[in-house]
Amino acid sequence: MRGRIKFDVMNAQELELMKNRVEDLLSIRGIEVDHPELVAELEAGGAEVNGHNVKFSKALIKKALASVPAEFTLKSPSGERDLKFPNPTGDFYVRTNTGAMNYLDVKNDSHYITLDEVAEWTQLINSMENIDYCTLPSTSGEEVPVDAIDVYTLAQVLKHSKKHIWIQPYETDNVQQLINIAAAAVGGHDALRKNPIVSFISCGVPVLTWKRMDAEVLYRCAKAGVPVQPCSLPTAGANTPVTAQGTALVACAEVMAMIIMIQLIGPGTPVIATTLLFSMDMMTTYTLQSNTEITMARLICMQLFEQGYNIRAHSYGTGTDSLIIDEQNFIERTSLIHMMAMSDASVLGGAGQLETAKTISPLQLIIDNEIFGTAHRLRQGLAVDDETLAFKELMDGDDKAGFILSEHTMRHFTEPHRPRLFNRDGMAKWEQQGKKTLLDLAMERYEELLKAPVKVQLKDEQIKAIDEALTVAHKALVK
Amino acid sequence: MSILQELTDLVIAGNYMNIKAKTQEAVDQGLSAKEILDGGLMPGINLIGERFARNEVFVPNVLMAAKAMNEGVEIIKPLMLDGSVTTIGKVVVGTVKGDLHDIGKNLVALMMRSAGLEVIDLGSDVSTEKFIAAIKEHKPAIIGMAALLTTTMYEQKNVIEALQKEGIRDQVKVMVGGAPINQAWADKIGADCFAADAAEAARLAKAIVA
Repeated sequence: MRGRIKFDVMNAQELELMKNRVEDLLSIRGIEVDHPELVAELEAGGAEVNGHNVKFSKALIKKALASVPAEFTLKSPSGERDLKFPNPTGDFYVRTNTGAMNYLDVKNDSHYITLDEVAEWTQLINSMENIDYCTLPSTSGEEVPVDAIDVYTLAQVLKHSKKHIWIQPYETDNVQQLINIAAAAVGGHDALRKNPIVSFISCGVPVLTWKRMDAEVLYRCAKAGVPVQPCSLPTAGANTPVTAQGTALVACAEVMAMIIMIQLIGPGTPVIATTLLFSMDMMTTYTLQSNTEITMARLICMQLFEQGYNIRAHSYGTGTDSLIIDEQNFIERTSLIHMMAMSDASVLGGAGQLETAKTISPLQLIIDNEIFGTAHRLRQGLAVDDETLAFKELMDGDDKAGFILSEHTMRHFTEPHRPRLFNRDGMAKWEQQGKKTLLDLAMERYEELLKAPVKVQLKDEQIKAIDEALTVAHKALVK
Repeated sequence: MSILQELTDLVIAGNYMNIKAKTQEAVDQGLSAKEILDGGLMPGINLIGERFARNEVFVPNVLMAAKAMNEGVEIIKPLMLDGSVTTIGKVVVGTVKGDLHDIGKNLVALMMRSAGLEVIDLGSDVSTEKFIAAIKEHKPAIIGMAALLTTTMYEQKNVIEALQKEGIRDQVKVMVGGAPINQAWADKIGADCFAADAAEAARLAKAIVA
């Protein structure tokens, strides 16, 4: 969706070229898929198959894209935060980091994530007014069986989340179990199709290759009617071209391939095109999230899907390559969100993440809630009309005493965005109140939010159903 | 400029297109393989390595320099009395079972090769049995295992336990790395070393085989 202020990084000719090149890759080079059942159904649906290689003609691409639903809703377990797509206000939705394995706690200790911290994290997300849905962290294998980390984490998040949940599976066999656990929470598979409180992530392996597990996500979700946010995670210079544009092309082609596969297997399954681009630092070889060119490449991807195909698109809105909550962190995450807020994106992600998405931090989550508040305001832009110009008041000239008591001020004074945790006092009062920094105030909010014990959000029978499904999953998965 | 200096410069520039002809020219001038290697090719790769350590050049510079050097070595290899002189040690690398990520592991292999090590790359999703078989077959000085997921990092532990069970743990140094891996994990599972990135992996490997 588009706000009033728009960043179009491609002109019309470039957008058309990009669309053509995406479709050229899928129709001429094709993709590699290691999933016989899926490939067989794609062939039956009209794809050209040669072993693992699958090609989609441009006519088939057009047919598949025609069944992408124009409108859909990602439901929330509480029913309090259902997410309609397209967002009726033109705004974007926000999600938290996915897949982090480290937790930087408020005592500044970084460690593998515990199951209790998953519950704490989920409870915090419930309280963040500018964060719309949550994603699964990666619980430590010291806490839960290694073969079933994702299913145990999902069960924990399901019990505590008021908001929609995005699931990242780790093993092929786990995919169906994850669907089963989510279905248990809402009363069965038909209920889950009607009330999708979860959606899944599926990723290709650049370039244009799907191993069995990710193909399984596409296959099972399409069959179950569970929404998918098909995702490409390329790293420029490592597994995709070093140019940000070339990496954007690969990412868009991979996501487009997944959308086509999902629509051919399960027409009408909701999808959100998710391009999470990275680049490799050519001196250290570290994977970077905050490279400037790659940020612009994300804008290319958002523009391609939203403008070029009218498909809802999703990318990073915040995050950093900094390892800690320092100055680099804030420069990177705010410069990123300012660009992405003015892109076409329908979803922006990464709330709470540090260290190129490997670490999550409750304090950063609370601060990101503030940052996203500002970003939402940016997306709205400023309407220009006689009322917002205060034209009548200015023409009347009755402003000798200033505007503080004017009717116009009364009508509009609550409109300016006012971040809850930002300092808006003068020096004297700030010193008097203990010279609190943003981090101090985030800490205070953390303590306030967690005064109440972490609590489950579901009814007893739902908890029982989840636990029963978890037991079944454990038996099936844990060797 | 001497022809040896020209070879050094070609390695530094990563000029793999012209180095074969220049190396052949050196051979034709009567220089021995050892003189060409020690006086022309090796100084180039060593200098690039030093510059890389000082953050003065990028990884592709190192890789192109290594490619240029290898092109030169191909010319002098038949003239060497001891064919093994061009590598300093052998390493087996792979991404552990269940893990399909291979960018980091590929970089490790490239950087190790650039550092003069022979690398046997087992690929990704490598089972414990495959690691054991490769160690028995190739007898490397080092085995390097990558894991990019919290679910697969435990496979590193499984492989180390299997090495002990097979009675070959003392024959090989174990290096581990990957996104969720740190020194504490390496210590916990009994690995010999943890490499935070590809350059460090190559540096550690060189130190081990030295």
